[in-house]
Amino acid sequence: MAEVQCPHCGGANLYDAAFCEACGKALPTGHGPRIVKDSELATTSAGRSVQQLELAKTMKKAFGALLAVAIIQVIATVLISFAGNDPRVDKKALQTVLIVMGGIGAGFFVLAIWARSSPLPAAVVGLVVYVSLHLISGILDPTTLYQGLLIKIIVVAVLIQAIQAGIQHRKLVQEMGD
Amino acid sequence: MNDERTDPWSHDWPPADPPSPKEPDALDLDDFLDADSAGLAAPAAPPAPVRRFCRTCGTVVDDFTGICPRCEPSQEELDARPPRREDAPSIASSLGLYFAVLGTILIGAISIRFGAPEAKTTCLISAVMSVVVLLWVVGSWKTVSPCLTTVPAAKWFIIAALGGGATYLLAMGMMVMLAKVLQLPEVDEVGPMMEGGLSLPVIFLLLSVQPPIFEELAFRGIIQPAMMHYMSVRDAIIVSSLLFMVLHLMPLSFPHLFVIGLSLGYLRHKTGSLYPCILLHFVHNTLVLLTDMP
Repeated sequence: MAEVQCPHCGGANLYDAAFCEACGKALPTGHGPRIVKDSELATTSAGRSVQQLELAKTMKKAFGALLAVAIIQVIATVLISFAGNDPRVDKKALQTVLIVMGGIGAGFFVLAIWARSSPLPAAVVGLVVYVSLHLISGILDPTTLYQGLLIKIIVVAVLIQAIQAGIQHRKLVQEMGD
Repeated sequence: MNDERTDPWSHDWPPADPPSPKEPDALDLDDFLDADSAGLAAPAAPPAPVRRFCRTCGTVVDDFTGICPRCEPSQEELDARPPRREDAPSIASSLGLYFAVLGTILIGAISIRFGAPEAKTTCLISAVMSVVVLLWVVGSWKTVSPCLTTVPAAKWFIIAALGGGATYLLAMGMMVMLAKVLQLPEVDEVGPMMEGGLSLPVIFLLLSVQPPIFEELAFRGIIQPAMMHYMSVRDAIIVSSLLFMVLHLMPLSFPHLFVIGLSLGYLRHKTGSLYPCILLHFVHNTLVLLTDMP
């Protein structure tokens, strides 16, 4: 592990030190006070409020992911609705498909709005519904599993991150309440 | 300068265990030589700790223990902290339960699609799902056992039975309306089972007994308390109802399934028991079964 020499007193400090342990002056290491890792909880009130802000930011990303899913779903619904012009398509079946797809899109819009006030529950529901939907459509037609794989991975990753941040946030709030 | 001192602070912060007061004695000769060559105030005997300022916040650390008063909790503070409650199952565990049950249902659906006998497969799915839920119940017994040992007042059972009737009426109303609007044939679960050679008692077990018990154990017994650990009661009830709704995989039934989920979640929260929930679910499913019977 690299060490940082204090420019004021010449003392050796650990690479992640923000202040010299020997003279107490700030070190020009460029990474400032140490940020706690994901799995740790800050112990100072200042650290806690910084960590709380960070976690809240990660949780709010659930809003973006859910909104993106909603928009993609609405676009897909509109595209499929054009199939109604094709005389070979069964109108009744199409109507049901459109209602279900539009309903899912609307549901994700509601989840996105909910995520602004309660990101953790919205992210949990969003993740479960999103993964379930793609599992089901993958079983009905295995080729759909690979469609838009990158978007799927990003959405799932963002939602999982938001849930983890939400759990951590909850622990932090509990700890601060103690 | 070759300062190879061992630093107890180099890896974990905050430290799992605060250092013992002996820490400053653990310095070796090199430290003093280094301090001298750097032109610092040479530590005279008894040796002062080299670490005099906190490297995270720059505050002067405790002379004796080397603990930063701002960044690291003292032993007294650590002792005063209540132990963290980790009894409730985690969100990951409850999502695992949900996907295990969903996986069972989907595997069954695939098998039926590829020609497995429908009646037998349905029985098998019920059995596997029950085993899966039981595994989770055993795993989170601390959470489930209170709702099984608590028996609420009789009025809650009456409310639950009436609630089952109400949700049945709602479900029927919704289905009839949707069937009219969309001109769809009404869903009939019982007919195919009868044709598959299942007797009425078996169908009764499959539709009216198994789902109420095991779905309630899963959703109201495990998932809802797990969510309540991390979010408000209201949100936990909403989340468990939405998961309950999605698991049924019938988009047209989603509105009334959500309402049923909310009622069950409310009962579970108000009574702290699973029995009224099981009763409501049983009454609802039995009424549906009676309606669908030829």
